[in-house]
Amino acid sequence: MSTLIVNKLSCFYQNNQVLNSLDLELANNEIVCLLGESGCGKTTLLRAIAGLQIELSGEININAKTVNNTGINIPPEERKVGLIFQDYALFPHLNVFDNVAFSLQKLSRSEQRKLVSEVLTLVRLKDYADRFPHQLSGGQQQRIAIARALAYQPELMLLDEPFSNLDPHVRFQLIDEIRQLLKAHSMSALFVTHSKEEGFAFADRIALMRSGKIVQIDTAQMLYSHPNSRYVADFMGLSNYLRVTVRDKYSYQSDLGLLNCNAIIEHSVNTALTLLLRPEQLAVEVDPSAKGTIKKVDFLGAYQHVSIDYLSKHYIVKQSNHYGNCMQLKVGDKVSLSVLSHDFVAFQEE
Amino acid sequence: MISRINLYKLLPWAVTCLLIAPILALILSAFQIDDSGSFQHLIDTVLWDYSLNTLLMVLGVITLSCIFALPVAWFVACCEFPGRSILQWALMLPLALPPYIVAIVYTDLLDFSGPVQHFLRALMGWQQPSDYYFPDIRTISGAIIILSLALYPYLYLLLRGAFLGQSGGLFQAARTLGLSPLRAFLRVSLPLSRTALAVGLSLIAMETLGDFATVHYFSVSTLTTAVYNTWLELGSLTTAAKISSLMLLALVILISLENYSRRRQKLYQGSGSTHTELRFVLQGWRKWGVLTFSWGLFFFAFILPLAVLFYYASLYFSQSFNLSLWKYTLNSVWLATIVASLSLLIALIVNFYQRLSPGVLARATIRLSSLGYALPGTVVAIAVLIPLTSLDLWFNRQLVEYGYSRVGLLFSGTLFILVAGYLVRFSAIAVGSIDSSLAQVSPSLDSASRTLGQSAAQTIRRVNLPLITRGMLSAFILVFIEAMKELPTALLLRPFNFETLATYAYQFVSDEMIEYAALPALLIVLIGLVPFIVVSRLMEKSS
Amino acid sequence: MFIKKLLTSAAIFSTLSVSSFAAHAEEVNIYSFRQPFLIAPIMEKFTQQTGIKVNILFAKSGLIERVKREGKLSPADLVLTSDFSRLMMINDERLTQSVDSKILTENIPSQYRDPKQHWFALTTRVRNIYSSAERVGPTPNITYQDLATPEFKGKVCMRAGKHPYNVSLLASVIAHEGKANAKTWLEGLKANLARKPQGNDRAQVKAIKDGLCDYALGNSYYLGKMLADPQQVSWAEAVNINFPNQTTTGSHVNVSGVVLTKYAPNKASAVKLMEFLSGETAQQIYAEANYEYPVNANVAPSKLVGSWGEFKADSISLSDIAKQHRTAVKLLDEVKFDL
Repeated sequence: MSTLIVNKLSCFYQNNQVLNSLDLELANNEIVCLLGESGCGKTTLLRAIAGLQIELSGEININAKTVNNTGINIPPEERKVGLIFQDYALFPHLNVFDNVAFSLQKLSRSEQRKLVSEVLTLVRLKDYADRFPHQLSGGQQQRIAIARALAYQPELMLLDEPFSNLDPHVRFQLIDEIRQLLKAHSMSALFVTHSKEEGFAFADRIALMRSGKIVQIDTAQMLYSHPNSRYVADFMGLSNYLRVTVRDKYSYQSDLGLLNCNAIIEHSVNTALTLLLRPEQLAVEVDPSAKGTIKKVDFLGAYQHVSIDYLSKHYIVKQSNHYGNCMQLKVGDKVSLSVLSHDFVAFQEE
Repeated sequence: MISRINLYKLLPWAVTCLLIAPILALILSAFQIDDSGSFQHLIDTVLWDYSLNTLLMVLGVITLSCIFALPVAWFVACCEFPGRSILQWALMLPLALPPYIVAIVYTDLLDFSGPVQHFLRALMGWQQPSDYYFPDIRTISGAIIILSLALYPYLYLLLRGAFLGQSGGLFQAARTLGLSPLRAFLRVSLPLSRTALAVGLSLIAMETLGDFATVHYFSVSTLTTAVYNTWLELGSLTTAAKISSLMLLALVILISLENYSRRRQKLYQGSGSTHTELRFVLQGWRKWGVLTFSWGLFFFAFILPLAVLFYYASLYFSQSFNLSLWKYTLNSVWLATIVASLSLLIALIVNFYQRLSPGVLARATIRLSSLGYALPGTVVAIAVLIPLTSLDLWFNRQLVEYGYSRVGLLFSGTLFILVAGYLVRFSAIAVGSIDSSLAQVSPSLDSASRTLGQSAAQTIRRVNLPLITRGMLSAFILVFIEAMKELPTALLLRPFNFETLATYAYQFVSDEMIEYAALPALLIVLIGLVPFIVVSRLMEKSS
Repeated sequence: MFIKKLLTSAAIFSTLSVSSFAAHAEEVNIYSFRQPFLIAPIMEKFTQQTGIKVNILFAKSGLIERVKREGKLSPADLVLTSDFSRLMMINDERLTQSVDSKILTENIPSQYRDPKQHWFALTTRVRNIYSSAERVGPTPNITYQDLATPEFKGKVCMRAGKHPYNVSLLASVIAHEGKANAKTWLEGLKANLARKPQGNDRAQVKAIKDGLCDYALGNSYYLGKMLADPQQVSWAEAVNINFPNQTTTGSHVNVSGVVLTKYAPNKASAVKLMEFLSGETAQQIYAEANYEYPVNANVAPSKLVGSWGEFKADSISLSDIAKQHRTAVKLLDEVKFDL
């Protein structure tokens, strides 16, 4: 059974279509990341699921219960979703205990105390119950916000760029912690970010959004290695594009010579295609007689990015620093360029 | 489910309708056929002079209020100097003084036979008016100065709040980028307080447009004079309504333009260290300059007029003190309390409607509910009379039709109409105050509460209301003080045998017997100060 | 159904509050343009004599509009005005009713009441010209017209032209001399002013004392009041009071008056009060306490007012002056008198 099903969801705001007949499905215990540039509609989708967006068409189901459909709009307080914000949204007039116990009014005071101390222990802030939000660091505030949501025992957790206000080292530590927490409680979560690193670290699957639609949803690895469009490819990492024609079922013809494919090519012979070549799928070698020229070298520690002009085309090659070979290349060197054999990703010409 | 939604949409509109029905009635009567030719007569003769005077008054008061309020608000919020904590609330006190009383006091002091010119004549040996030059206070400049002294606290109040809310780091950053304190203030602090500045100035502009007593006393003829003359002397309510409507229209256009120019600006509560921790410590000539300016302003706007009132009241105490004063005081206090509470309620309803369902329509309710503030009190009074007397007449007809006896003026002949008139006039203050304090509450707090299982009503009660307590208190106090001071609405709408301190004082003021009015006027001021001081104490304790 | 319920509850409510209020003894309700402290002693006497309670609601403007809007339901029985134009205005709005009372017609001379018995004057006051005792002395032959002649340049003070007392004076000038001459007069007067029109009548007396000007327009009773006030007596002593136009048309006279409203709920009591106001007791108080001229021929002005001497009053009828009221207001705008 799925925790969340979103079916043909559309949303208009001031004559702009913010969501465009969007579909999404979240399995039990799954963490999905909504990734995209700002303005792509990812936050709107989150708010729609939480019940905070009013003008909607389409269907939303949470744990097989319809919360949104024609004529149905269950208010947010009856949806049992936890929402975590970029600005933490802790109530400034309440201390940590009262913030966490905010949704527990119906319980007795002793039950409240027990549950609050439980969740505060989970986020490792047991001793902070008497503090006020402004006395806490950003990371601590966000952990309190998580604790507050957990105490409500939601059926689905929604996180709206929860880590973007935090320092990088705090950020990835917290991401790790919260992921473990969610997994330990078998809780599904939908997580919005514009940082793919956060997505890689936090989510089981990543849904890449563009103009109110999900363009591709898959694991991080699949999105990176098998994007379904140049947009996805560019979003997931540095890409080189190479025009090729299909030579036969196993190879392409290109500027860089004959390329052997590890899988069977399904396009017919002589079809013109564009191949996606990640920087690590190219290799470079010093050759004074070759046609490539090094324009720039960016040293990044374990590897370096080498920018090369080859037959008036621009390529970026990733060179690993295995044997100290990064030392060898200098700007202006003549080099040859070759493609490492793999199961190529090819796009139709656009 | 459906009825719940309807109720919460219906309530704010019902409230707004109640507030704008009188104004609508006024505008409608502006379109009635008027064969008196009064409007054409005005255009042919004095309308342009009046319009020019009005424009000069509004611009003058706005400018001078800025000159008064901007520096002191910034000094008090962002600088450190001796006596700052006293000044920060003392500078609000002039709000409790009715402007026309200040006008009379200053005229008595400064005109030819007043003590100031007497002293100068004795000192210099002058004999006649032609021997020396002394500026005449009964001019448009005099009126501008007096109104600015009385009205600057509105701007001060809002600006101080805005400056306090800004991150002090921004100002420091500007300093490190090579800006002098003054330029840092002009280029960083001021633009960031634009909302407060705009709201404050529009409040002051509306008060100025609505003022009749002060300009009348200074014999400055403005459009308000035209409204009064055409209505009272030429008997043409239509023309009077026409001029009032045109004034409102001009105001609406002005405020909409300002809003439009500000549409992209959205400021949330600043995070990081505030000015409180990073106050700019003043020393040397700067310190003395600031002290002189701030205390000077406080002296002329409050201490001096109050001292003169005290002097008059003690001089004529036996003639003006009587037991009825106690009754009038009670009347004033409970009327002001009721009006302040209801205004607060209206402001909450209208503002929460806007927060729960934002949009042009909701924004419009806020704008519309504020229009009454810009109208002169007597015009508001007439505007309120129109719908309420019609309601009474209809109601009594119905009673008779169904076989009951008539009940008389159930709405327009009782305190109901008085409260209604006050609400039409003063709700704007409460609405604006709640609007600005609610704007500082991050919307994600609402979303957080809703997703934590709280309904909209619970969210308002548990999250929003506690966070705008300050705004609610200041809204209450401001309306309370205004209601204590209000004269023309009370004068015309009160039922028989109901006097407030202001109407009681007026029978003497209207005969230029300020000495007899001093004691009730003093009571108005002192009672207005009580909630002020109580609340500032409470706030100091809580923070 | 809903209306029925509403009405029932209103009816119950009304028996509890409003009608119990109405049942409360006899009373008269007055909308007054005159300050209550001026008329309070008279009303106290009336209540003492008759047991009828008097409620006064005072305002300087808007009362006529209020009576008009309240229509049939208006609680007001009487409207008291402090000048003639207001009296005419409420009459013209048809908000009054005629009072057929022998006492009133006996007490009030015919030129001071409406031939149709709709309005009644109670007191008269003269628009005097004050002159500086020190610099000018008494000027018994002065006229309103003199104030506009070049010799008076920079010597005249007065309150706002739009004030009813001045409008009424201007209206009488129009009635006598026509609009064109009145306009010339008004322009001349404006040119002679020592300062922009401002303050009330007392302030003009003060201005003469201070040497700002030598002549001022003012109502007679203000001088009496100032002479009685220890703080102001020195101002009053600095001026002489003159009755203008004694050699020509006579001094302009304004009146304070009363009307019975069309739907007066306590008509009988109200008429009793009107009769009382025109009677000797009340007229005596008007004369003694407020220094006004009583309309009742049996009552003499106060000693002080009497000491100012007999004078010739303008004989033109009040309704002829009232007809020029609007023209006068417009004329003031045309010459921008108050600007």
